[in-house]
Amino acid sequence: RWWQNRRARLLCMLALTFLFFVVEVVVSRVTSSLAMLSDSFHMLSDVMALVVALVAVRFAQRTRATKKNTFGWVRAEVMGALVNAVFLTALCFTILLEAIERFTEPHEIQQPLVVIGVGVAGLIINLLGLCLFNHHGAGGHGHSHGHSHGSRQHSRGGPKPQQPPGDGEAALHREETSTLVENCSSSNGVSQEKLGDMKDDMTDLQVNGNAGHYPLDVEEAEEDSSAQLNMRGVFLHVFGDALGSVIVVVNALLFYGLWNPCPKDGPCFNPCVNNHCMENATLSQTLDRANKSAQESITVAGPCWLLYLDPVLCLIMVCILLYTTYPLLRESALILLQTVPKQIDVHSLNSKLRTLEGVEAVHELHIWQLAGSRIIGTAHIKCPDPSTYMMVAKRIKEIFHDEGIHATTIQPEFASVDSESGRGKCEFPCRTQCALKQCCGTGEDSTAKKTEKSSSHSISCSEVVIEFPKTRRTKSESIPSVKLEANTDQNEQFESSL
Amino acid sequence: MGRYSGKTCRLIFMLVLTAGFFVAELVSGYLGNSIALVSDSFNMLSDLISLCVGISTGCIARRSRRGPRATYGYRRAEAVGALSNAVFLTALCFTIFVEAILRLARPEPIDDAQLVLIVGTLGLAVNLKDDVFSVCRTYTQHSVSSLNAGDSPNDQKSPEEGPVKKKEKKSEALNIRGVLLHVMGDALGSVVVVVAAAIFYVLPLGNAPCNWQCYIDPSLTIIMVIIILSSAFPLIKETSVILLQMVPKGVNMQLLTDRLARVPGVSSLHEMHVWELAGGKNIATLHVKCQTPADYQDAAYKIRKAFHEAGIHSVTIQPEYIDHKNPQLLCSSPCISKACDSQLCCSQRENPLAKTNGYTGKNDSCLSTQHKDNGSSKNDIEIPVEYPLAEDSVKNAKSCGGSDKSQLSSTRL
Repeated sequence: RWWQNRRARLLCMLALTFLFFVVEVVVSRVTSSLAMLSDSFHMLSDVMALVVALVAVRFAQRTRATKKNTFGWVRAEVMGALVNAVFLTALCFTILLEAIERFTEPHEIQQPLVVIGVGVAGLIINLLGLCLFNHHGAGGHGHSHGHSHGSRQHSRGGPKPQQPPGDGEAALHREETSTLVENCSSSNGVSQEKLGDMKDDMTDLQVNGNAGHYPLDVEEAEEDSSAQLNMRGVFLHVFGDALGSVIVVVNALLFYGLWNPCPKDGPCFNPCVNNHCMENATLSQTLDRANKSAQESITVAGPCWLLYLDPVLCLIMVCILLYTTYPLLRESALILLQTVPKQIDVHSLNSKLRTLEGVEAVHELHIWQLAGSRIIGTAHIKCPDPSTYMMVAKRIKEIFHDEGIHATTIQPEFASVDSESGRGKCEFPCRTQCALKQCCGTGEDSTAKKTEKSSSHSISCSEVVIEFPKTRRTKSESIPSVKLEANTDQNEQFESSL
Repeated sequence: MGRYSGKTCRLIFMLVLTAGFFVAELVSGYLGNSIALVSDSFNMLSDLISLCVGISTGCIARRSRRGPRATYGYRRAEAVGALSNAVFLTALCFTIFVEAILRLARPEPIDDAQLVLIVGTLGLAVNLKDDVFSVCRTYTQHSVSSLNAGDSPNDQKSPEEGPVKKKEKKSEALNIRGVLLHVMGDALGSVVVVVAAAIFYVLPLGNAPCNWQCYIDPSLTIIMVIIILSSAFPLIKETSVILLQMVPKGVNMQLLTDRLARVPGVSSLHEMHVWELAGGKNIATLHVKCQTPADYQDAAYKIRKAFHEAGIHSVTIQPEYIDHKNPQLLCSSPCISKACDSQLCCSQRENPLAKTNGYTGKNDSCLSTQHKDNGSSKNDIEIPVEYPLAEDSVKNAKSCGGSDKSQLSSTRL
């Protein structure tokens, strides 16, 4: 079904919201109500959040590696979620500022009926959006599996006329394609045309073969978990907007019901506005006394607390929004920071690997999450000789697999090592000077390194110290904020982390 | 760390000063009804946030290098912080833009021109003071680093020093230019505020309806917003290169894979991934298919050398030996069962040449380049390869030591 597709939902909501924004602008011009105009821009911010999410979804569907990105673009959705969460935080901040401003200078609502009407319409649209995106929330998995085959294949890129002939043949085709791929490297000089015209058929068959093989349910589930963050970001935006609409409607209703407005004609006194002057209050008292004595009635504008209702409700809304946005912010930031996913315990993994027979030491163990359930691990394993490594290799992969890490790169190292610490020295580091440019410093055994390093001080990989406070917004990691010092004190290398 | 104590004192001072000014400018902006002052205060808020981000990431990165929760440490915190700051600033600019447009539709005068003028001038002074500091520092650093570069010991002259020194000088120049641009950006905001307030101060409106004067504030604000955004977007782009695991800017994948393919002993490569952790630290992983372990040993050093010259210094190479069970180019050891395919970072089954994302190139997910035409000779990994260990460790020492004359004694440097 079309509504199961993420992109379709986003586009639909985008169209609705933009239309509503236009409607609100027109109504505000007609009724010349500034408040409605400024309210309509909240819808515009919703539109922007949807655009961000849409762009992220578009990108993240390209899971293939490209020249620019060897992992494909799956991370785009996590980044979209982070951007949306930060955007929402900024909006909360501006709402907070507005609320504070309203506290000091309360405004009346002009034409509450129009506001109620538009507010209710906005609320309906937002509730619709909530339903659309809540499907991706906690309970949404079951439905989307069965129906998504069609949409998955479609999003893979166009209808494919050929059907997979069968397992064996598909595998055969795959190998043939691989042979073709072997020959296509330019150093062999195989003609490209031969490759070219066979390629198209093969690719179609190949992709078809895959389409038959894939357990699509698993893929859909995996997609859901990585796309969930992105959709959560959108959901929170729409939720915030819905809260805003609720506040507008409630406020306007109460205002309409309880406010005692100043009639256009006749003397009126409004004690609520312009309250920096205390003499107004005394003036009102004297006026009242004068009133009663003169038996005239000067209308006093309605209960003042109504005017403060709006900012108070806004504050409550800001608190709710921040409370619900913070987990999303945290989760996406943790993925982007290359942290270990919560369900994996690196220490136990390390000890499991080390206790394997044939493994002498394990170092440079890194586990990180690309997006969703794609977890990547690398490790350097020290073994006494290659044949031992061959025996152990499968077990190592099994250990990683059990933890849920399926994409691993294991580097075996074969020098003899003194096995006291169980963590040996890396046999294949880059050159010595590159220590600061390696992802992780020399970590273990730093004392030994220092004495050896003192004799060589070459500048082929310069030691860089990045300074923070000097360049602020426009700073970048690579170029302008780097302050280079030729560091003669070797001790500092391992401690400076910037 | 002696280096940091004086600095943290100054950082905290700057933090307090900026925070105080932010609040002052915000309040005066609302009191005096000047949008330009409010937007300048948002500018300061963003500066404040980036200061906080800098301090906190410095603390975090210093404290825990590698922990059980983060095997790479928290070095990326800087990139994430910078992205958040840029997005926050963009969102604030958006709201300022909206308000400026509303002001253009319904102009309002600046109420308290004197207050706005005073606060604006003070804000200008504060902005420029920070930048004067940084400009001075950059100039002194420039001279110091050129002095130091001259003093470096000459026995380690390698051909890489030349271009690196040039790069240093270029980045120093870029640094200065970046700082100057930043100065102008900061100053411009305050200048706009001062101009608008001065006009109202000199030509007070009183109770008259709005004339041309009321349009200055919002229009200059819009210009300022555009300038701020033009400095935020490049930052977003740069941090997204890091956060999306893209290939870092200085690395040419095509060139690198060609060089790697030409290394003798390498039958094919796949699963090559290059990405930047943060701040110039590039990481790569690679699966290499070789005929024999001896081939691999020879090739390993050259592969690392190729990576080193490309600027990638943390490489993890997984050797695979060719067996007739697996097709030549697919990974011999992906995860243990085929069912995990969807959870690999790059699927093993997809055809590298499929054009599903519109990218037509040879170098797709399982990057495969073939050096020799090895249709026939496939060694079974079960055949034991004779292979003395002593030679191995010497080879390793040489491979790690490389051309450094002083590192023959140990393998780990």
